[in-house]
Amino acid sequence: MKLKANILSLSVTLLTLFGCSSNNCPLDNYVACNYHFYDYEGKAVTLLDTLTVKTLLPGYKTVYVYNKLGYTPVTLNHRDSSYIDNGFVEKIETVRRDTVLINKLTKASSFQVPMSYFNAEDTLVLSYKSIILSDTIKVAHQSYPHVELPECGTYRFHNLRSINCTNRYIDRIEISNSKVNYEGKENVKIFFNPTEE
Amino acid sequence: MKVKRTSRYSSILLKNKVLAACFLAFTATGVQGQTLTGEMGGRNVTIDSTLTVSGKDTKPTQWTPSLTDEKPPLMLFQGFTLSVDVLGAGMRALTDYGTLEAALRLNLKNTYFPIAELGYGDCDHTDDNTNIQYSTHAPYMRIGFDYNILKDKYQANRLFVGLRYGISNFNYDVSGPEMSDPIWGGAETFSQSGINCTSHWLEVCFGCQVQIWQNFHMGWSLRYKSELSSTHSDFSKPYYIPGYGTTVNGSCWGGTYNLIFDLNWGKKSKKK
Repeated sequence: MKLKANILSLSVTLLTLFGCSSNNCPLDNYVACNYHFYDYEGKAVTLLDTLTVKTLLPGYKTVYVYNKLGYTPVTLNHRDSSYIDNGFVEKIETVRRDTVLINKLTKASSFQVPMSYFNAEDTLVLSYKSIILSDTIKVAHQSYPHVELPECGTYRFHNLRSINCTNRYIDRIEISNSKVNYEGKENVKIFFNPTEE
Repeated sequence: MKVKRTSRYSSILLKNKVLAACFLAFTATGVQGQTLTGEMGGRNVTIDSTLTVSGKDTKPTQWTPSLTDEKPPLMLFQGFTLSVDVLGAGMRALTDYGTLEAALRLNLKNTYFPIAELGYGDCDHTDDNTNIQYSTHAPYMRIGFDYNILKDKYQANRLFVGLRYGISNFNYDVSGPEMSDPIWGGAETFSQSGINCTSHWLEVCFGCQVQIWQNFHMGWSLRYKSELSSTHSDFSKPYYIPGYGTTVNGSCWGGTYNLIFDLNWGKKSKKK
């Protein structure tokens, strides 16, 4: 009887030890490039304007642009005859395909955007609510696959090579950490013009 | 009556001799190969190096004190042992990874056992969920020592605690299914071959061995392993380190089941 009890307790102990399994996969596994905002003097700031970030995709598309004197131009992916009825002039253009990565971000001190897996350069278009003009950021990078463990799947990490931008709202831009992974470290510093903060 | 008186006399005489022998034996401890003499009740008593007592005019009497039960001190060099691990080979047959391992151990006083373990680790793993493949085949080495914690060092069975330092320099291959970009589009398979890595680790061991037949022993060891460092490439970290095991966590448990052969190279034969 005592032997049976000992065997039972030993079995339970062994099952407890070896029955559980865990993995070391990272919980926060979103790979993104982190852009942080600074004023022209290098002080971290919160952007009060509303920011929308789009990226250009491979390929082109046809858009319909409606212009009327005294009105903001309207660009649509499809034809809308109601604008013509209201006196707008329709213009058909071929432009790069794009997609919105961040829509109407407000009171932010940074943003995160993913990077392309197989393109050598990504183009980001930053548009603001307070001004019509937008800024364009071009970031060259090298992407490579990364396997933490076979059970965790494959991630795509990036090494930033160079970055440049237009200077409408942005004063200058620089790379602070070239390794883009899921650690969430700051990768790029955006210095905004003093009048537009 | 006469017999009774003689018996009583002999009993007193023997008692006195024993007391004298004890006293002389105590003073003679550590002195070997000498003959000690003493006087007791006007009679001469002689104790030789084997601690036997003889007296004149009495019947020859021998007495061996319990002090002679002490075993002779162990020589420093007690030979080598060669062992092979059958658990690693069994693991390879039943799972995705395993080892072939042999160890050479030096026996010092049946207490300290410096040891070198050499092996060859093998892993071919494919994850069922992600379909990512990992493979490596490479040698490894461990050095360390075992300490026999049994109080009786003369017996053939041993109970060990020990420490090991392990190192392996190996190349591994990782490949995975096609990756597709959800935003910009495009897809590509992933395959990296010959990623070089050097790993260092420590092991704390506990184990035992028992004598099965003459110089043949069997034993097992349970090991707690802690990874000290590994070179990581940009592409991945090693999933399996030969000799260490899987790197799912920073530490892991392992074990061996050993067939052990005592080798008497250079060991002096016992003189009876």
